[in-house]
Amino acid sequence: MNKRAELTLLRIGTILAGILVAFILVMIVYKATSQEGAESAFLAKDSAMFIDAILSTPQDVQIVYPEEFIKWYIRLDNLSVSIFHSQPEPNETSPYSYYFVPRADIKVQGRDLKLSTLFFIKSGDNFTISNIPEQGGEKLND
Amino acid sequence: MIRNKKAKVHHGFAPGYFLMAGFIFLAMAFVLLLITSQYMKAFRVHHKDIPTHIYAYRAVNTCLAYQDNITKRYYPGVIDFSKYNQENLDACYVDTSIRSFNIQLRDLDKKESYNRILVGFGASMSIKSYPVWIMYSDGTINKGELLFGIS
Repeated sequence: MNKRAELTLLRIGTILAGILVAFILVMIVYKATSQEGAESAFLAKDSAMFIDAILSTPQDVQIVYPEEFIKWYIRLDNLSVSIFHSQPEPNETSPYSYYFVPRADIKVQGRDLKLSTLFFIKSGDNFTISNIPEQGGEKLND
Repeated sequence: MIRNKKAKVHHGFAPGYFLMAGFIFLAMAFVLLLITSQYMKAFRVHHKDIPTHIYAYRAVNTCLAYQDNITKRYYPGVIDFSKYNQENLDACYVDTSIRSFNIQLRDLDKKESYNRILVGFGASMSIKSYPVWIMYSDGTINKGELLFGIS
């Protein structure tokens, strides 16, 4: 192959590589800026901060979360809140998780819930989430 | 510009050409990252001091707060001085793998600062002051402040 042909081949190769790199970058940006991803990350962080705020409140308290994300699922465990886009398996992890800081005197009752109306309930020395409000005086259990 | 006549091209290698191509790719990557960063910024709606306030009020309103022995009612903003110790604060903030806390109580009437208590792994960069009342075991109540920082 002569030098001119080699240079032409090199330029074509560079252009093709450039198109491939541009495509990969655009796909990365597209995925990172997807609305579902951003909303899920926000919901996990906001829920965790909500829990921290409730654990900082004296006496019993019951608060309804103002947003409804009917299509998703939320998991509460001892240290974190996770958002799933489909019914999660028991050992499944989510990229949309956020930690809160628990208290030794309040037991967090972990559970998975389909997100509709979401209640955060601190009653006595227990804390959990629920789709229905706690009725007056009723003890929390799973 | 792209090919230096003196620097002979070997097997199609053209340094200037690659430099320009590399520069264009870097510029493209930079612009895309900038767009992504600006987009994600829209979702960082929480003010950066909100976590500090939330954790500070946990101490002020519950963990360190005076609690009536009969009614069990907490008095938010009134610190029970007997509760200000490492053990109580360790129980107030159990998991410190992500956050640590720097807490100090000051009596403004006595002009006295009590021991700083660290919960977790290190010192905090930003300390905020929260006005409180301090109740002592002899029944006296003094004006005070709680210095609180997280990291």
